[in-house]
This record gives sequence, C-alpha cells and structure tokens, in this order.
Amino acid sequence: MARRFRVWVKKQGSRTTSARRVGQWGETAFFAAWFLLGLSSLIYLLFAPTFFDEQTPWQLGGGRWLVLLVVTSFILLGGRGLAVSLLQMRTSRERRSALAHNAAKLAALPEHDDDATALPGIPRGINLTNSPGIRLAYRLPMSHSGAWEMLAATSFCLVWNALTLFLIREVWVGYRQGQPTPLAAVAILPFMAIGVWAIRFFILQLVRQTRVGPTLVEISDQPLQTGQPFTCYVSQSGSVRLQELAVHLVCEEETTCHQGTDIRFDRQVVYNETIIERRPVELRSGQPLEVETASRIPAGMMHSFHSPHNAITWKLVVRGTLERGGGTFEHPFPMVVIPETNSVTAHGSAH
Amino acid sequence: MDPLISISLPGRRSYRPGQEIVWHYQIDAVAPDAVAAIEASVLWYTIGKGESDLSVVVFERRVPGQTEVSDLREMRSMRLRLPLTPLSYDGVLLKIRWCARVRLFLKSGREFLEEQVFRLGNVRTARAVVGPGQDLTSLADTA
Repeated sequence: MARRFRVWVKKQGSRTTSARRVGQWGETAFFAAWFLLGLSSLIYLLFAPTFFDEQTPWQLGGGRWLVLLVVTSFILLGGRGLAVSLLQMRTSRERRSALAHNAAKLAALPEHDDDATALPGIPRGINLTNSPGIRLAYRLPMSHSGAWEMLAATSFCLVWNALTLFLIREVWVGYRQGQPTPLAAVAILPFMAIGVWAIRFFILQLVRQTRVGPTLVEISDQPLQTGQPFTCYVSQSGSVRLQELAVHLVCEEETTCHQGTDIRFDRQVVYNETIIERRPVELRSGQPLEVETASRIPAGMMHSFHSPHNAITWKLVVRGTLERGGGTFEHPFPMVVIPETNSVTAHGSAH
Repeated sequence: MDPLISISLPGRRSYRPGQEIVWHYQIDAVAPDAVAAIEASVLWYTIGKGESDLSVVVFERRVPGQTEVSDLREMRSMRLRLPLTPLSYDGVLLKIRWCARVRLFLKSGREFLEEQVFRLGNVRTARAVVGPGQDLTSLADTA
C-alpha cells in the first residue's frame, strides 16, 4: 500500500512506493517551475536590454542566440510537461485510454479497421505472410540476423586493440629513451588480455558468419491457432560441422519498463518444445540440411499478444552448436498465434 | 464514511470471448448532490514486471445534469459483447486481467474506485521453463 509521503521513494516504471497524488503534484510543480523560469527569463530579455549593455535588445549576436534558444526550450518543454501533467491529473486512465481508442479508430483507414479491431492485442504480422515459401505456404522472416553482433565485435576489437597498441608504443618509447615506466608496463597487461579476448571473439563471430549459411524456415499456416497442427520446413546451409542442430517451438513473455533513464527489458520462456533435433550435422557447400516435420501449438496456451510495454511472442528458434568450441548460433523466426476457433466462438459473428 | 460502490457481474465471472453480458453498478452512502461524475468501464490491463498497459473496451462517463436520470447513484445496467482477445492470462512476468471498473468523483475532489475482475477465455496458467540454450540457473533467477 503506497504511503502518503516518503522522502526516499522507489520507482520502477509507473509503479512507485509513494502516493501517486504526491508524485503527480511534484511533477506538475517541477514543470510549472521550469515553464515560469523560461517565461520570466524571456520577459527579462525583452524588457531589460540594459542588462546586456545594449540599446536595442534584438540585435542578436554573441551569446544572445544561445540564451534565446535555451529560454525558448524552457518554455516549450516546461509548458508541454505542465499541460500533460494537468491533463493526467484531471483525467482518469480509463478516460485517457477511451479517448486514445476513439482517436485511433477515427484515424484508421477503412480497409485496415476490420483487421485491427477483430482480434485486439494480437500483432497483425503483415511481414510474416507477404513472403511465399517454396515448399510450404509461408516463408518466415528472421527477426535477428546476428549482423549487429558482428558489427559490435569488429568495432570493439579494433578500438580496444588500437588503444592497447598506442599504450604499448608509449611504454616502448619510454624504455628506448632510457625512461622506463614499469608500473605502466604492468598496467598494460589487463588491456592486452582483453585485447586478445576481443580478437578471439571477433574470429569466432567471423567464422560463424562466414561458415554458417542462411537459415530458411517455412510453415504451412499463418496465423496459427492454438491446438492446431502445422507443418514446418527448415533448410540450413553452410560449410561447417555442427555438433547439434535443433529447432525449438518457443513461447516467450517480454516486458519493458523505465528505470530512471534506462529501459529495462525482461524475457521469460514459458513454452519450449524441441521439434527437430539432429546430431552431428555435416553441412557442405551447396548441400543444405533440409528437414520437414509436423508439430502443433498446444491447446490451452496463450495466443500472441502485443501492447506498448508487454508482449507474448511465439517463434521457431533454429539453434546450432559448432564443433570444437566454435560457439553457437541462434536464429529466431517469429510467428503469430491466435486463439483456437472453439475458444473464440463465432469468430466473425461476434461483431 | 466512504461511499459504497457495488458492481454485479453475471454468473461465475468467467466468460467466453464474444459472449454478451449485462452488468450492473450502484453507488450508496453518499449524498446525491455530492457526486461530481461517475465513470464506468470494462477494460483489460497488464500487471507484472513491465509497465502496466491498459485498454478500455467500454467507457461511459456520467455527469449530473447531463444524463436522463437526476440521481446518478441509482442502479445502472450496461450490456456489452466481450471482445475476442486478449484472453485472461496468468504468466510469469506478465498477467492480463479483465475487469469492470467504476470510478466515483466527488465534488470535494475525492475519488473512489471499485473493480470486479473476471476471466475471459480459458488459457492455462504459464510457468517458467528452460529456453533454448539456457540452463536451469536461468529459472532460479526468475524465481
């Protein structure tokens, strides 16, 4: 139960250990002070030119543009914050949601309206159905290709090792000039160790990206229904020996919340079924591993769900483990799952 | 004494998606001229580790002088067809709750809220499992 007032308050997202009303008043007072500071500063600028030892206040130059920019930003940001705070104080959350809902309905194009409102809270997944497959009806797009990991590994390896080489050079120059710095030489050792680790990680990523070829996943139906069987086809190409290749049917909860200036992201798997498992796998250039299997979304499970800060996602995850400590790769392919027809009685007639 | 807000939902508070229900609410223990507004809504909201999301399916705001009845405290019935989704859900990080909610605003500036939770659909309770490539310690972290 939130108390009326606390000096130290814990806050996570919109939840707080203090009374909501106290927080609202505090926020309103903060934005009001910000807005008034901006407004009074602007009035001062306009009506007190002597402050700048000038006869005409609008001969802008020097630091005047900067002052004017700062003052204007105070007025705009403070004013917007004040308006939003007052609106939130005077309007319930349900009313705000209803207003937003009505606005979204008015803004929606007629042809999109039916789809968006028939199954609210379920992502429409347009990108999941606009690519036909070769073996089965739909080819699923990969949600995460690993390119960002490769870019991050490359950047980190280059920057870190450039820094380390620069430090080594400085120590070496000191040694050559007869001014050795043993403490600096010892301090470089951890830098070198991290540099070696970065090179190893970069090479592993490079091997993974170049030797593991593209993964294709196709499915027979989209969207899927809970309790409904479906067929899945997976093709993995490359030129590498895998200790194991597995395809998992996964349901995952995802939540986000603001913690200070950070955004905290949490995930939890609530369903994981291995639908394909092969070990070991020898991938050769031009001879991809191709597997087709039948599976089913279990009855009684939750459908796909998406809201601004929470989601429930269904996906097929292709996971491979390279031999001799070569690491693993994981390629997720999202799907859309809707409730079974028995559950949503009279699917169309409900509207 | 605080005002009493009573909400009555039909049956055992578990409904099928698309089902039509009639629900009632009534206000008591407050003078009729003390009421500034009443908001009645049916909505879903999320609770759990993330920030709470909310979406209203039905919303009605009644203000004295702007409705057909003079006394807003009288029993009010509302008919609605429940949407097909999202279904009620009890997850690990996230839960989806459906409820009928009544918010009472008094002229004194005070505000009172009452809600009745109900279930939409029959999704089974989820539990944390080990994901691809995870080990059992990841479950311990969640617990």
